Formats: sequence, C-alpha cells, structure tokens
Amino acid sequence: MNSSADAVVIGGGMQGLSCAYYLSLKGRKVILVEQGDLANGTTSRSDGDNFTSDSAPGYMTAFSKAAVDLIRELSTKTLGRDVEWMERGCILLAESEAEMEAARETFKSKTADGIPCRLMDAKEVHDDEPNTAPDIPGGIEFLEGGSVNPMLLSYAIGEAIQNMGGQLLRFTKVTGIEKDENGAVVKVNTDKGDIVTKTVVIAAGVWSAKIAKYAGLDIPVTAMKGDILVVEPDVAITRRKTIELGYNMVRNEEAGTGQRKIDPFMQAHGIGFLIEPTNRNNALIGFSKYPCNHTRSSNLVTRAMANRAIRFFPMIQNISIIRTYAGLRPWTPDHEPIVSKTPVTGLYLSTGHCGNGITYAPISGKLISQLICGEKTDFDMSPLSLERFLNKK
Amino acid sequence: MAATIKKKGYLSVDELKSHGCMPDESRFQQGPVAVLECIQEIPCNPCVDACHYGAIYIGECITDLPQLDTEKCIGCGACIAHCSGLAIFVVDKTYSETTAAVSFPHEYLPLPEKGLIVQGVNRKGEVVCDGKVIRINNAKANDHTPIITLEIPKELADEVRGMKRLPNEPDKHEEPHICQCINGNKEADSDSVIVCRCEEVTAGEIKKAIEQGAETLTGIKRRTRAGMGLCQGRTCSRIVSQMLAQAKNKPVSEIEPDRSRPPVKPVEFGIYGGVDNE
Repeated sequence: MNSSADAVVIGGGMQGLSCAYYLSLKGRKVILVEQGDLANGTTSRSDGDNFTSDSAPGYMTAFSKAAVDLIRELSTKTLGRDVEWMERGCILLAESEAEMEAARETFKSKTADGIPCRLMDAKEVHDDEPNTAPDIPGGIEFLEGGSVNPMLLSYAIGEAIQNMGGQLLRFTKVTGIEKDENGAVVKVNTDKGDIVTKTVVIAAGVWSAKIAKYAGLDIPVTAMKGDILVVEPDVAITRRKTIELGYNMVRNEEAGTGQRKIDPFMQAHGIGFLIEPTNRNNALIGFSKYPCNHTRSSNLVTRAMANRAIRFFPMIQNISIIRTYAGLRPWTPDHEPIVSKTPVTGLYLSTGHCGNGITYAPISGKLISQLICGEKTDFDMSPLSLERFLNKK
Repeated sequence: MAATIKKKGYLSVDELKSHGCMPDESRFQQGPVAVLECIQEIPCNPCVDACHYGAIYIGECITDLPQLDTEKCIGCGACIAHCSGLAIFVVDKTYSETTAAVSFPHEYLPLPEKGLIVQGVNRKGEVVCDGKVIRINNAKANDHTPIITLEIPKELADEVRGMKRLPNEPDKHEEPHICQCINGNKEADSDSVIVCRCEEVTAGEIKKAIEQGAETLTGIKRRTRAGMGLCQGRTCSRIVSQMLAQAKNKPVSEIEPDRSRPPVKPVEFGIYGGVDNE
C-alpha cells in the first residue's frame, strides 16, 4: 500500500497530532504514522496539566503562556468536544522559610513576565487549602492554567484531522526514511508500505532519537521517567492543583534542589509532591524524575512519593491509592523542547518537551506548521532549535 | 483501628472481640447465633432489613457498625446472604458433644453436595480441618449467594469461616455469554446497560469506542474510562473483553487483558508510604 502526502508526521501522541492538525488547517495533505493506537505512549501516561508556573523566566514563560492559552482554546472551543478541561489555577507551596525566599523571587519574575499570580502567607494558604500541613509558611497562587484529559484531547484532534482529509495510519511502524542525492527527504518507509513526501516531522517523543537515526541525524533526546499515583475518587483533598515549590528546582535542574530536606533516595529520584484534582473527582499525585527506559511503576519510588505527599497533606495518609502508573518524558540536555528544522532538508522535529509535552503540543504544532509553510513564526525559533545543541559540539 | 484487615486483608479473633463482634460464650451455649464480623465503617445496612426478628440494629448513621441483639437472634442465617461484604456467619457450638456447625456464604462453583467431606479454612484462607457439609442453602431469596453449613471440630468454631473451593468442572458449569445477557436484555434499551459501574460507562459507550477505533481493552479504557475506577476493572473487564471479542469476531482468549498496575487493590497512603505508627 504505497501513497504520497505533502507531509508525513511520525508519532500519534499530542505532539504528532498537533503538528498534523495545524498542517491540515493550512490545507496540507498529511499522513500521520503511529506504531500503536493514538495517545499510546507518553501522552496517556502524563498528568495532563497546563500551567505557566514551572517555566524559566523570559522567553520560556512567554512561550508557556501562549501554550496554555492555545490548549485552553482547543479544549474548550475549537474542537467542540468534552475533553475534561478544568481550570482552577494552582498553588506552589514553600516548605521552609528558605523556600519562601525563593517563592518571593519566583513571584517577582512571573509578575514581571505578565503572569497573573499572588504571594500567599501561611494564613492565606491554610484559609484556601485547609488540609495543608500546619507548618507550611506560604506559597504562590497562579490564577490561570488547568488540567485536561490528554487522551480525550488526542482523540478529538485525531477526529478533526480526519475531518479535514488527513489520514491517520495507526498500528503502523516507520522502518526507514529515504533521502535523495542532495540529502533531502523523499520517502518514509513503513511496515505497511512507502509514503512519498518531501516533508517529514518527527514527533515521536522518547522514540524520536531512534527515528531521527533513520535519516542519519543524531538528536539529544533521552527518556526521563515520572511516576504518578491515582487517589480513590470522591475525596476532597485540595480544591486545585498544589505543588511543592521544589518542583521547579527539580524540573529546571537548578542548584537550589539540594536545599530540600529529603533523603538521598528521594534526591536521586527527583521525588517531590504535587496533587492534581481531576474533572472526574479523583486526584493524581506526583512526582518523580529519573533516567529510565521502561514504564513499570517503581515500588520504592512510588512509596517514597506517598511519604512525601503526607508531609504536605497529612490527611492523605488515610486515603487510598488505587493505581500507579509511569511515563517517559522525552528529555533534552537543557530541559527545553526541540521544535525545529534540521540539517536534513525537509526534516523537522517537535520533540523533547521534558514534562510539558501536553501543554506545549498545540503551540509547537502551530510553529512547525508555520516553519513548513514558510510563514512568519509566532516565536523566535532559535531557543527551540536543534542547532543550539549542534553548535556546542 | 482495623489494623489487620487493612494490612493483611483479614481480621484476627482478638480484633473482633475488641469490637464486640463475638457473642458471649453463654449465648453460644444456648444454640446457633449470628456473628457479625463487620468492623469497617462503610455506608451499608442490608443486614438490618434481612433480619425478621429485629435483632440487627444500625440506627440513623448508616456508616455505624451493626449491633446484634443476641437475645433476639435465633441463628436462622437470613442475614448471611444479604451482607454484601460476606462478613456474617452463624455459629452453633451446641451442634454435638464434640462438633460445632458454622454457616458461611460460598460464592464459588461448583457447590459441594450434602455429606461431602471438605476442607475448612480460617479467615486467612488456610486449611485448618476437615468438615462435613450438612446443608446447602441456595434459595432464590439468597440471590446466588449460597450458604454452606459445615460440621467441624468444636474447638475450631471461632476459626473456621469458609471452605476450600472445590476444583472446577469446566463442562458442567458453562456460564452464559455476558454479551448475550446485554443483547438479550429486552426490557431496557441494551445500550443503556451499565457495564463499568465505578465510572458508570454503558454498553452503548463501549460499542461507540470500538466503532471509533479502540482495538484493545486499554484503547476502550482510554476512550470511555471503563476500568479506570475504584475497582480498576475487576468487575467489568470480562464483559468488556467479551464485547470486544464479539465486535472483532475473535475468541475471547485472543483479547489481551488490560495491564494491571500496582498496588492492585486500594492501599492507604499511610501504609503504602510507610509512616504508619501502628
């Protein structure tokens, strides 16, 4: 079964679907190739939250704000499907006076970047979220941002792509990428046949590096595991997403990470606390971050996470865990995404979104479509380029 | 509170005694009496209505534990099959000079025949003695919860709470195809039958997910939430497998089961996270 397309998108998770969606909107004939079902990999193993609280100041905060605005619009308006969007903002909790100092810094920089937030003292935190441990000295509230069911969002985007004439080849494995004598992409080989095309987008998450090799390209994307605990339904712990401030330090690999009072095991596995109530009245509890190549839940890590959750919300100890799951974040050396053209003509990348993949997917897909169609991009692409890594060599 | 049942899944006699679940020895000497081994405060009260003698009391607050008036209780066992937690037993320590009779719910096929010698098991599920089946009560009112009465050594009357399941006889007990039950439901619109009770997912929603491209149990779960709830698919996954097999025209044996993830059954954070002080 051979065919041709204006563009082939490799990967049927949120990144690939978003790329295919925006390319279809621009009238391109798109074929998306996915080795499993849609949303089969990291998309279905994520927590589906969308906030501006953890991005680095400046460019990345502006990027994350645009990303949240776009995914909100898709989830609540454009697609016309219920994808369990729930927007209540979030709170970052400080664990100590030292972290309160970091909270003030974060508040200053986020306010300067135009993100609506407020600093909270101990009383405000406990008035707002009465189940918080009594010794928590304060935090920051972010007024915007919410959660979505990433699988339902993926299926809704997939449906929209098909309605625009795009083709979704599920359960189809890419086996090669062919180039012409000038080194430009001409064909994608799959186990179901070849697709002739001049444009290929690799949006295959943690599988991206393997696919890029087919085109002779080395990209610095590795797997960084995260575990999640699912709480029994219908128990009210918090009103909205609540995270320890340490998350930002762990996410952004800052020097301050070492200041948290946690044991070496937690330190080594990037363990901390977040809770995210969902639209379906249960809650997800995170977080962990460590290099790993499989999605089996780690007993020791999930138990340490349970322990950390009790530290911030003691009432959690009497509440049950019904399930644990784990996913692999596609990670890059500077923990920011690669949304970029490449030295291979016709080959583009939207990958390495480092734990913000759901939020950043629609904006990345939109930028990729602008790059491919030769339009002016909404953002300067250099901070997201593959080049920034290639130049370092 | 309820330490063993949360950690191990069964109760100890000491715990039952401390919660006042065990009738006095003097009452046991007067003949059969119900033993309500219920120490978890959950919203549940069918036992109250099951008793024709008004011997079981819960009161206004539905999460309170049931109290047994041992003077009113005649040990008839009507409450046994009505306890959805299978936590009620009838013990007769006066059955004979050396033996006692214990009645318990037994929701396993095949059922034993009267007179058969079977293995009595304790609350942990360990075999502790042989016992003789003296009665099988599978009345319609029990709604498929048969009650077995076993004659066992008197000294084990507080221990034995069940019997070891008899080996399966595959030819004898062909269960009806669950899809036939759904499709054969003439009274209601068959699409409105709830398949996943935890997430309230109907047969119609599952059929739609299959039409929209779900190829596996996981695919159906991600599209509908069937199996994502409190029981994690223990109740619905067989039905969903059969529906998928039917839609794909495959034998059920070729439908891959959904991945079960730890901790398999709900566990409290305090126990899981290891900060339990008990």
